[in-house]
Amino acid sequence: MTGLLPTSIIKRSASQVSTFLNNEAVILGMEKEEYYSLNAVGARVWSLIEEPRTVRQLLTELLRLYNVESGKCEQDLVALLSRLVDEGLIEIESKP
Amino acid sequence: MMRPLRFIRLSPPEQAALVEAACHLAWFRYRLFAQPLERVVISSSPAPRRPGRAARSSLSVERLAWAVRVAARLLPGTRCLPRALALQRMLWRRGIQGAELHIGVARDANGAFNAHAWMELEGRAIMGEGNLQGFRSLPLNNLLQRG
Repeated sequence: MTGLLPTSIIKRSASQVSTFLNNEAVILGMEKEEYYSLNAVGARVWSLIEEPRTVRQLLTELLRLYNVESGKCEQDLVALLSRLVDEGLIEIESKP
Repeated sequence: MMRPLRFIRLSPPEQAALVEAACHLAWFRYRLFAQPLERVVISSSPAPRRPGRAARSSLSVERLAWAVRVAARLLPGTRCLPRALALQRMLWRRGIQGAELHIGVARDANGAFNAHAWMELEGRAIMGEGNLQGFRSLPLNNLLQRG
């Protein structure tokens, strides 16, 4: 995903509403008028970005919570964020 | 489907409510088809629209909900969201404020995902009340504040 930096700020889009069903994040995205479901790590990330967070903050928190290798964690996080941006569920601010 | 004879035996306010409900349902079905969902949801914000207008309705809230349900049978495929919005509009036209749209999600016993829309007035479901067990409402206020 081009342009994503450790200092990029990840923020939930204003055009969505979400809730948690047990450990699952359910999001109604208004851009595509679709429901989305995030499990496990995805739901955790969604919960973490209730307030805007930098990519670095997210990675730090995920490494703290999960026993996973740093490179893999970063790869998976970028993949998730990329998907969330494509669906209009998050916004990314990269300071110049 | 209501047979013509049964329609004639309804009181005039009930007949008018059925016709009105059908109009609102058709209108909301059109809006939901043609306009962004977000815009339709934001327009359901329960902020008072006609301050100071006293509530006046010869039909009870329950009877108005009945009218929407019956009219919905005349428009096959009318689902929960236009029904809820149609009832809210009918309440507003009679000066009855406070009806709030709820959109909720749930997983059933088999893990299947369900979404549903209903209308609440004073904390009680008045349209789409079916089986709301297990449904978690989405925080539509987050959108409504931007409207």
